[in-house]
Amino acid sequence: MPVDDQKNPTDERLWRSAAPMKPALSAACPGQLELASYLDGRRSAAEIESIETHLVVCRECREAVADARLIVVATARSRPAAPERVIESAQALVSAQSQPLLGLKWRTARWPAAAAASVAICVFGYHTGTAWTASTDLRLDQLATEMSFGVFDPPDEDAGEIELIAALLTERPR
Amino acid sequence: MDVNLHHCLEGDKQAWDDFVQRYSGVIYAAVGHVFGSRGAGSTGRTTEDVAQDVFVRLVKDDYRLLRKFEPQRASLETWLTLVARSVAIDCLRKRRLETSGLDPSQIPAAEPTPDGQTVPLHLLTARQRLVLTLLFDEDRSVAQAAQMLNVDEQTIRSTKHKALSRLRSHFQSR
Repeated sequence: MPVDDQKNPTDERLWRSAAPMKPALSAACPGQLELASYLDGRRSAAEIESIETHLVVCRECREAVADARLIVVATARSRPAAPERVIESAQALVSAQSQPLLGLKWRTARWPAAAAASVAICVFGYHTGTAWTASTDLRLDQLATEMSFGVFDPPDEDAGEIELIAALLTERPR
Repeated sequence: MDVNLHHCLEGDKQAWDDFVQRYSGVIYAAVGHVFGSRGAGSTGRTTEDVAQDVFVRLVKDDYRLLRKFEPQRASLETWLTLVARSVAIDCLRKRRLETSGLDPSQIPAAEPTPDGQTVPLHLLTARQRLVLTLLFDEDRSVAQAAQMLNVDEQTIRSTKHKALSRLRSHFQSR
């Protein structure tokens, strides 16, 4: 370690004694796009000054920048791949009919036929003991995720099926 | 692999599949970094689960989150890194609140913590204050600070030296 990098108590004391004022946060945290822009070096000098003024007093944003920089550098170096299961599940979120399954406004609409059909397939397979396929597994994962995010909002009369999904998730083979 | 984000937002299945193939590694790595550095053992959720949550958020409500991205302002990799990190942090925070017995819905969103030691305004630049904060308040090494700010280590040493010189001059003149 260069001599210059070693901790110097005098320097540290100087920094601390120079901090009689602790200003409140002057502005809301920058958004993720703004932070990304900062990280990519696409901000003007004035904008950098503004973001760094915020970073001095906001630990959360400092951590976000530090984490993101580490991740971006590491991923640029090693090009990590996600497990195939993650890729398949994510790709299945958008159907071939040009509709993101989760883009449906299920909160305000009736429980869509696609979801009902998915549940029916799972339930049928469960009751009849037919082979548990990878697609069944995948669809169950999707349903669980959708329910946890509140975008899967079936009517009350389907509560029985929802309970069954929960049971399937618990009992499915691993 | 080229990804056509415009087609993706129009609901093109192939464009979405390409998007997932191209960026799932970055998202998975970002979630893995958060769980690896902060520990996810108590969340009951795996990196795969949370990576899937990220994709769900991107497509939810007709790609509402993904539509916020502006390619002229930042790279998609950097923005997705911040988004994925944020989803992972939210997951950890939610679990901590649940295990603490508090009702998460009753807890306001976390406010950034003004914790930085600062100096009289205009005495130091934001960059100088940030460097001293990283080195002295957060005990980061010169190398870590350099990586975070995307500059070389000598620049950090030089910035620190100039900042401390200004502080000394300031106090000697009082």
